[in-house]
Amino acid sequence: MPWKSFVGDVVRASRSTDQYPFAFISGPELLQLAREHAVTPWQAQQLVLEKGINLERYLRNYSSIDLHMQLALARSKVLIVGAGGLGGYVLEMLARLGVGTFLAADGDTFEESTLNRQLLGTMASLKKFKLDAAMDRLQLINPFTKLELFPEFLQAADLPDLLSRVDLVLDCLGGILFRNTLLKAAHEAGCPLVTGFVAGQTGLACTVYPGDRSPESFWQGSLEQGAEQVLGTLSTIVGLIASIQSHEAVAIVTRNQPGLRNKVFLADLDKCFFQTLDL
Amino acid sequence: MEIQPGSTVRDIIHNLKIPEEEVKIIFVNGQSADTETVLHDHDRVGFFPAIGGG
Repeated sequence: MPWKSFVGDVVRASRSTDQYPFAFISGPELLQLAREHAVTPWQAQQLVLEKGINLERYLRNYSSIDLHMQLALARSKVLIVGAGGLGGYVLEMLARLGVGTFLAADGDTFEESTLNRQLLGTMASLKKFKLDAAMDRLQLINPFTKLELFPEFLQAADLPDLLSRVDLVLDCLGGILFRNTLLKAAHEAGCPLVTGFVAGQTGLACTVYPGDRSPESFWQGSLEQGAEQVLGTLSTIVGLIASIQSHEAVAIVTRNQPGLRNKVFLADLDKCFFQTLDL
Repeated sequence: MEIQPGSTVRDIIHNLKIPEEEVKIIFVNGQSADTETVLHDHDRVGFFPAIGGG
């Protein structure tokens, strides 16, 4: 059991303070020990948390996310469909929170017109695949994660296999066209779905478990009928809705208690109006 | 806005000259509703077009 000596070294390298009821280890030290013992960073994180030792990077999560929940996050697998506005922020927040495994799908490249709102879009990533920027970003912010890339626009036939491999799916699509296809596939796969959709300064978010009421009526019609085609989209509402989606994902993984089943959260930043509507 | 007693959501949509096919989902007082829903004093009505940006 090569992991046994790894865990022993981690215990010796970890520290305690009066502030927390557990020991913790710094990220660079953990990476070094993982290298020495030929353990992947992703495995290392789980072994450490299983031993009741936290990672220093998660200390400020602790009052809301205890060690068991942190371990659940480290073991969790989420599919992010769309790595544009919503998807970029969702990836950022879930990686910082400690989700262990990401599957991400997007066939698109960054254009200048996406720089107003898409976190992963930079002058350096223009014309490049969004998922390449996602991989670079994830390595920078949390090397204890795994990211599997699907640099393509998914088709309905791709979904059953992907959905069977994850605990939940985040619908971060741009445009209305594929959303009902994804919703239906998630239902058939028994996979919880957390969706966000925005236009102008207005945004909505909703969690759908199989059999729940869904916001599918918002996604009827042709691509041109989506209000975002006329109203554009501001970064402020994108970040807000991505926050709600990320928090729902954490609530599903850590305690199976999301707040937006059979409901849709509505925000209008122009009027500073927020309401949760019953579907 | 002022409406006649017994007015429905559809009447409001017509009064506001909104093409009915553009209204995809309707809420009255925060509850899902439809064009036939009859309105009462102080009801709060929201209707939405298709929204799918991300």
